[in-house]
Amino acid sequence: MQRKINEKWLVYRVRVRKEPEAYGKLYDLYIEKIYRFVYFKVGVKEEAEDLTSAIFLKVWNYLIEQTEKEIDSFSGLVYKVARNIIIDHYRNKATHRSTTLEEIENLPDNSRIIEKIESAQEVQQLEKLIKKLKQDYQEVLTLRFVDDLSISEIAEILGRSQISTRVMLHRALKKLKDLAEIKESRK
Amino acid sequence: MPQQIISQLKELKNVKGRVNPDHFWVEKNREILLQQISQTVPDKKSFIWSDVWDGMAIFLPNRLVYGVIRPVTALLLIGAVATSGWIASVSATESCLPGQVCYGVKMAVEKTQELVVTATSSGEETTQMHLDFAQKRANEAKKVVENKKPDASKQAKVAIDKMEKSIKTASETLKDVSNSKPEKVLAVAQNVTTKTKEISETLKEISDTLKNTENQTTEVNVADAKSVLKEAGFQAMETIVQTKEEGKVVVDEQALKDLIKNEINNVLTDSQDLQTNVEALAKSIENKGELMIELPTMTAPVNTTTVAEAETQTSSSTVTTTVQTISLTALTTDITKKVEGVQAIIKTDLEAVAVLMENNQVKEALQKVKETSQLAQETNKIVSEVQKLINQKLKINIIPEENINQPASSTTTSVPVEPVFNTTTSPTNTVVTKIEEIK
Repeated sequence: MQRKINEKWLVYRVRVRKEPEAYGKLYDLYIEKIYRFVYFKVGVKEEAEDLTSAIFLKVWNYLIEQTEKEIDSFSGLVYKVARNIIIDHYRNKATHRSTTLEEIENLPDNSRIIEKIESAQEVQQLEKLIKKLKQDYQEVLTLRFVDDLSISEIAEILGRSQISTRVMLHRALKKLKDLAEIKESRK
Repeated sequence: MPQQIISQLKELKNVKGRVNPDHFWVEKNREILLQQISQTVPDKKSFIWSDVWDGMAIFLPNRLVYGVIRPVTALLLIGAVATSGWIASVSATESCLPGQVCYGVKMAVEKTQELVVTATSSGEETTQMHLDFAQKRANEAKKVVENKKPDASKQAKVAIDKMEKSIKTASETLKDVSNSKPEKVLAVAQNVTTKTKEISETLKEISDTLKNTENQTTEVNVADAKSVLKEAGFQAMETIVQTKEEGKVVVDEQALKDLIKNEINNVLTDSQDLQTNVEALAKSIENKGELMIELPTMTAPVNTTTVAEAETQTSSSTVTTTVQTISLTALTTDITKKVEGVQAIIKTDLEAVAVLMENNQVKEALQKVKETSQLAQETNKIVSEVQKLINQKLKINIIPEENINQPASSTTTSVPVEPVFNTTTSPTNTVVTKIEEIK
């Protein structure tokens, strides 16, 4: 609740007082989430960085220029803009280059991963599995478990009802589980 | 199994690299972003009410803010202003004059009132409010001048400038009324003419107070302010006539004629004022008539041409500018003669107006009265300027008598002339020399 109020206060300062410092704080709150969201979509670090920069700039322009439009939540707005920019990115790109695998293969052997994940390969595999899911499932999983958004927030971002979002989340998890089991059985 | 996957998913955000952004990039990007957006931030603006509602709309639903809170707040403000509880600040600042610290508070209170009334009231009430403001400003200028403080002129100018602004706003809102509620336009326009007349009388009192002082700067501003008032009065009548012609409203012909007759009386008063001012001019140089004064003067072609010829020549005529040394007596005599000429024109024009009124040519009569009024005002302004020059001369610049017989130096330049008065419809085409200030 406090986070929401704080966010609304920052949005007020941006929209009404046009304070860049307030927008900087919103940037701090959302940069990692948005970057992850974009990265899971495009799979390339450089592209993810470029697109993330474009997203935050676009959101600023929207807040400053579209002052008459109501904003229910900042997170809803920023994720919507992110999705639109990613869609535009795919349209402009002839092929979707996937270098996730290459990057994973180029991981140095001594890269440090926190203790709960036994090896780098587990992370790599998880990423690969997520990539095999359809877009909606990828989004709902990353928004829910990686970015810790609530069902209502995810519903707003995806433009769905909360019940529909819960159902989709359940199905995404099930699908991911099935893929993991298939992978396991092939070993 | 799902739990394990969920745990792994949650751990993804703690993994450095790939799925998480590079911290160096995050910082660098932040810096660049803030630089970019700082350039798009507009200049700071002063407080406006819409910022309050926009800000509120971020925390509350739009419908609640704009549909409920804003109108309720407006009503509460009206109630607060109307009742005596809040008028503690209003009544305390009522007597504040320009130059006093509390005058800013007074203006802020009136600004709030203006915002509230404009947002929630009809055009007629808005017009009346601006007329009341104009009257208040005129009263303030009068008090300031009566106090005779060192900066009275400057402070009176502040009040008079605000008065002019209020009058112009009232004229504009009257036009809105004629478009939105034509049935009300006659009453509102009559209000405007009545109020402008009252304010004119206040300005006349200011003018009388200043007549014998050295402070002619404010005197000239009063003349300009009177012009603005008269213009507003005429605009009000023109609005009535236009609304009548467009068939938007039925206007009592007699009521309209009465308004025009009022203006005729005002012009006659202005003409009498001319006479009074010229006599005061002559009196001010009693026993000093032989003093010389240097004046740059513009002389237009002499009035021997017919009206038609003058009309075609006006746009391409040129004047010569000379610096002339002239005695105060000669100057005053010259002005007096020209004013007599103007008075004769005024008399003839008003007779023409009477004929037009008898023939029910109301629109033409109104136009004629307006032109005659402008003629009288312009002449009054010139007489005021001459009075100012003379006062300055008597105070400071006295040219020694041995220079009286020296030939006047002359430099000539060609300058296109604009007739000072609109006399094209008069039987005689008199053009009065415009006197410019000594630089």
